[in-house]
Amino acid sequence: MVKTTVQLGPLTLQNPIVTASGTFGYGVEFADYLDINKLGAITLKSVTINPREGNAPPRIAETPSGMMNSIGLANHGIEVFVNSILPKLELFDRVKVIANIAGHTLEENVELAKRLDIVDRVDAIELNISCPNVDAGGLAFCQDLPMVSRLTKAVRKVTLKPLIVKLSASVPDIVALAKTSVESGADILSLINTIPGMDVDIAKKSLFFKRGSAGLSGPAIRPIALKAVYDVARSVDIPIIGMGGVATVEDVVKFLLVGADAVSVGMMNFVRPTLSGELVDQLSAYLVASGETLSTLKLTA
Amino acid sequence: MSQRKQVQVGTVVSQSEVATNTYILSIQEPQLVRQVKPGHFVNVSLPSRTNANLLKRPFSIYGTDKEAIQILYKVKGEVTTVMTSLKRGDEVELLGPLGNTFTLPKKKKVLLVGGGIGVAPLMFLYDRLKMYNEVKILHGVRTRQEAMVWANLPVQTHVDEEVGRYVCAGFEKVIRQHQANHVVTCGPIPMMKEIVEACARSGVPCEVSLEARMACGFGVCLGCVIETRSGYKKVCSDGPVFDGALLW
Repeated sequence: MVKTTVQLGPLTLQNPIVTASGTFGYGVEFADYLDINKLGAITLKSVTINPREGNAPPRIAETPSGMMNSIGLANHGIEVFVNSILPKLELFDRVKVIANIAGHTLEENVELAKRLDIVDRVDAIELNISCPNVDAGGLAFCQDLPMVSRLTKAVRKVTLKPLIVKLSASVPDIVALAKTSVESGADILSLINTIPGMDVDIAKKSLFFKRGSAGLSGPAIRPIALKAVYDVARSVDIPIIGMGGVATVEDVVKFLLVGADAVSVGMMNFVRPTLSGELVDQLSAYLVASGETLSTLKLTA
Repeated sequence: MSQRKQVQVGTVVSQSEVATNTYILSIQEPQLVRQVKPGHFVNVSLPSRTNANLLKRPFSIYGTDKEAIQILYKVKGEVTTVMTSLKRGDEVELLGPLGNTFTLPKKKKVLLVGGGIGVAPLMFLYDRLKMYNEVKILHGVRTRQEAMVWANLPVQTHVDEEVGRYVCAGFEKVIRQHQANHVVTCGPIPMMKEIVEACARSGVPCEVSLEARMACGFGVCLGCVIETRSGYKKVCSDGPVFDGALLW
């Protein structure tokens, strides 16, 4: 057996394969398709204090090599999340559970982190400061470095759980954003979130999505994600969960080579719900066949 | 634990054009054939046509033939255009069966109303209802070219441009004529809405099957929601079959 355990600061994963928030439901929906207990970690759909219906349809559109979404953080709110959703994951004792919080304000994020800090089934908290599909909070946080600093510090203060800050590449300087997050108390960085894009309905002569902008994901954004991870990994010394259009084990290896410590599967979970489990096996096979270990997967030049 | 679901790879058995731009595609996939029930859909992608699509496309089940499932589809966009080029032996990726199913009543006078390609799931339903019910099918099409040939089936084709009105117009009268006490419809939203409203006025239950753009097909992406009387519902996993009264 090849060693696949990875240490992301205070968080230990049995392997580096993670699933991205918003693409894996609450995990249990995928139990029909794979043994979710074999994954490194699953990141749950974003949670907010109050239930959110989400954005008016249409919510998705396919693009060349990807898709856009404008879901708008639809979720059942923190009460249902803690009382009904998290208990269903008790059965899965080996996979780590990352709760993604997406409060509209600093205070709401602090409240969410407090609530989750005392829930055993939550192994880490991911602070979503990069969702492009909401009017308040979301990506607006990421574009305001003093806010990122205040927000991260405030959340850091109320939880002992490993704290992940999820970054957007749609900022002027992702390295500055990463450094700010690290200085403010992040244990781990995850990147990248979807990239704001747009589609047009030519018959109606209107923007396709009601909010105009929507988030682009999938293989289309993989090159952007690889560069973002590369740039950030050279500038900070905390662990990175890399993501953006991962579809094959080769993609996983590319993210590891440019400096990711774990790799998240996003949009492709929709296309092939068995994919994340397959990547766990394929990564082990890759390491065996290539004679590499996770620590030797580094760029040579 | 029950057997895990897989992304299945089926093989095209045959494909034929049955009306203008309307095709029946038969795909060999024995396991799926054993599982599908009327109302279910499958998510399809075309690995042999790599540039066609990334997200799978939902198609309702039109029927089964031996070990093949049949999809009745109309050419509308890039993916369905490419689908017409599929030949015997080509591989098709299938995820399913997905979604919920139609109610299967017994000893009812059932009226199935399909608008255009919306007739597809109703024919599979008819196949499972005919033994225990008296079933009539209305198929509304806009032009004569879109009409299909229905050998030995109780289908009444309604060509809008020839009759001068839509199949759903004056639907309460249609319900009375057929003495229908169970109605199922699939087709354009305005058509289904009129039928649901006519059924409500007539006190007849009506199920509808909806279509939506979807990314996953199994309730996770939240991309396919439709507004209902009790908030947004997912077409893929709360549906595609809904009680009409919940919608309009």
